[in-house]
Amino acid sequence: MILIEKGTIFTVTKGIIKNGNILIGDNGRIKKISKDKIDAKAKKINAKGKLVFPGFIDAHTHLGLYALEGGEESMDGNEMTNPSTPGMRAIDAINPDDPAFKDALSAGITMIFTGPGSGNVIGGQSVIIRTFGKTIEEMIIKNPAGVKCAFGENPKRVYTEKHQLPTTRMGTAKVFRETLAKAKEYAEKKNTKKKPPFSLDMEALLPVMQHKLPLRIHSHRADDILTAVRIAKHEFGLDLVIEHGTDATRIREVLAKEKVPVVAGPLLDTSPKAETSSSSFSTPALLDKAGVLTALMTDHPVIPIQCLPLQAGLVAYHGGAGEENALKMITINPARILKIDKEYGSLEEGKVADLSIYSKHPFSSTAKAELVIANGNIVYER
Amino acid sequence: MYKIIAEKIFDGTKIIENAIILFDESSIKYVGKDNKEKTKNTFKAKFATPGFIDISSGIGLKEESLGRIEGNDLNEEANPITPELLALDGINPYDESFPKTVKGGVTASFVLPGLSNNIGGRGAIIHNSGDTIKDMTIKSPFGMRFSINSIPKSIYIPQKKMPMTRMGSAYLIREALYKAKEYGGKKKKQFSMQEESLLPVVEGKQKAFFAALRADDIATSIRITKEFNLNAVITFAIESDLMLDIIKENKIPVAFGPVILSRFARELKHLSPKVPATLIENGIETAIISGHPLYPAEFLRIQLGLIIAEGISAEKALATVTSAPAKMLGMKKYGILKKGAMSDLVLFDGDPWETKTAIKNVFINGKLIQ
Repeated sequence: MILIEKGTIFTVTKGIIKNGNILIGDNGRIKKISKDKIDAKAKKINAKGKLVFPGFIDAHTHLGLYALEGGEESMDGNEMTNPSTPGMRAIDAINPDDPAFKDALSAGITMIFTGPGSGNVIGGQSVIIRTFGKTIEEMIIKNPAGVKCAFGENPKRVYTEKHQLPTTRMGTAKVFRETLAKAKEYAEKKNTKKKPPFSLDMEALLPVMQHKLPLRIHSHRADDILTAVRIAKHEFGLDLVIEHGTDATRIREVLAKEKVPVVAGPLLDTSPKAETSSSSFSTPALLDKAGVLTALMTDHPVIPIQCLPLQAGLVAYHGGAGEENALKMITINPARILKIDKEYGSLEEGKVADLSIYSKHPFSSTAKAELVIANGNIVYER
Repeated sequence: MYKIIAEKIFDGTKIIENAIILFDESSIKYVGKDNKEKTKNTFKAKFATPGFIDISSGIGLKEESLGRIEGNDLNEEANPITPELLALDGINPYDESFPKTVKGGVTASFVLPGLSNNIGGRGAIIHNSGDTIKDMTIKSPFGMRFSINSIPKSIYIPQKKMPMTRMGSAYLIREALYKAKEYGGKKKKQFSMQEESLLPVVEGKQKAFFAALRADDIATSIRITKEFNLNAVITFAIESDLMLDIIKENKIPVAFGPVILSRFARELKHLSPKVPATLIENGIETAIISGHPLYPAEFLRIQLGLIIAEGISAEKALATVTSAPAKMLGMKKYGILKKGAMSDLVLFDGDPWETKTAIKNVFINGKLIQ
């Protein structure tokens, strides 16, 4: 058991507790959070004058799939030989030895969503993993956790170079729609006596058809976002999450009404292309205010994973979100989008003990995590 | 005339508390604690600093939101030796990065061609605000871009041209420098644009800005510097802490960064805010760069926070984006807040490197830009 004493606890869902104590049980869960002194036989951590946060969650990264300091041979994010590759599995490419995992831990990030890139219209299966562990099996929290899709400039650019469909947004929509139509037929035939011939790609889409997994759709421009909603939700009745949503501000009411969440960002970068031109630190706050469930991403390696809290700080102070809401966007909101909020994303009794201790607010450019706990164990100490 | 009353100012070397600054469009007239002059144009600030100088930027050359062809004028990838190119000819003053960068307190940039060519061309020192490139120019041409790293190789291997190896890179640079030297010695010259461009570099009148990341490439840059007696600055310099001794021995300034960047290539493996902290602790003249658009110049100030978190003092961290780059660029009146200096100033409502801090006002040439 571990007892954290006298810290300022940012529970995220139940306010800020000053001079609070957290008791972590041997089962790795939070046993008790209290303003009052807790007596227990436990390893004591004095957090007097320090700040305690839930483990941060980055809901959109490519961590482990681009351990690029390993050179080009480590580029495993996009299987760009066919625009529709739902059968690709992120777990087969993630390198647990990528040093960026340590960077993540050093910034209090204990959980990430990671997966294929946006080179293909349908890229493959993404996964929710821990930021520590020797093998991918040890790290997995949920696999698969979503199917990556991409609209807009990226698949167009990749296949225009190959003189292959899609070279237009119409082509992208066609690939997307055709794949889903086939998956729908496959799922229906599976329930009949005459089973369809086995297809790894179609199998990967079964949980999507059964509403067990969302499509995670990369889209920047407002019209691309709405194409994603139109096809995935209106035509096929599927669950989806919008990734990036750079221009989502102008259609925030629609997204709120459709109950489509957005994982916004990355923001601490320069706009590389036309479809990202409206990138703004205000976007997350505007989406949030309109009632869209919003989380923040680093899109690692686009911006380095350890900058997740720093970027949230810019969203808080310069994007109009405020500290409280920006903190939600890297804790409970991504947990809700990833549907792991019963276990993670806030400091509450009964939840898994994932937390970090800072002496300065992690939104500060000069802050460094001093101690990080996950599953109730100390996983990082400065 | 403007009057600034600031709780703290950074004058280029030290922080002065409760100071007053007076300036007009020509220069800073007064910096001190006691001045009763009254002016309608009085601003209060928590912190005032000289305008930040970003000493290795592609701003205006590689433009935001304009894609890979329209907005990209960073590298002339047809020939690895192009000293005759001028950054000034490629800068688009209407790049959307400029107003953002000014908003971030960065008033001047040293813009250089990219890293694709071993000798990329000549740079331009510009203000980040102005209607035309002529209004913006502080000094052009200035300096020369040299590139000793794996980027020229990656560009010319597919073209089946030299350099395909690091030996090829060094050879091409050496050959061009010898030719320029020889050209300089000739009484009767047959005009050569390439040699004319390199001549001030081999004569030590113009600085050579080497882009080197790996320790061995830094060493090669210094070796060539010594062979030709160049006046060099090492830029990017990711593994410079591994070459501390020779950098120190040869008194070579380092323009390090960007500090915030994923290690998306092998040569970035060593990247950490600990590296510039080590350089500064060892007394090496150090500037911090954005490498814009690799990292947005608008948030140059945030990178200082990461160095301060490594134990560097606020003064030394602030110097890396003010007085240190100004000195490397030979701009005596920039990067400082002293009587007679240029009226480029930034007013903050808190510590400049802090995420929370907002930039209240920016002055360039004594004009209120923001």
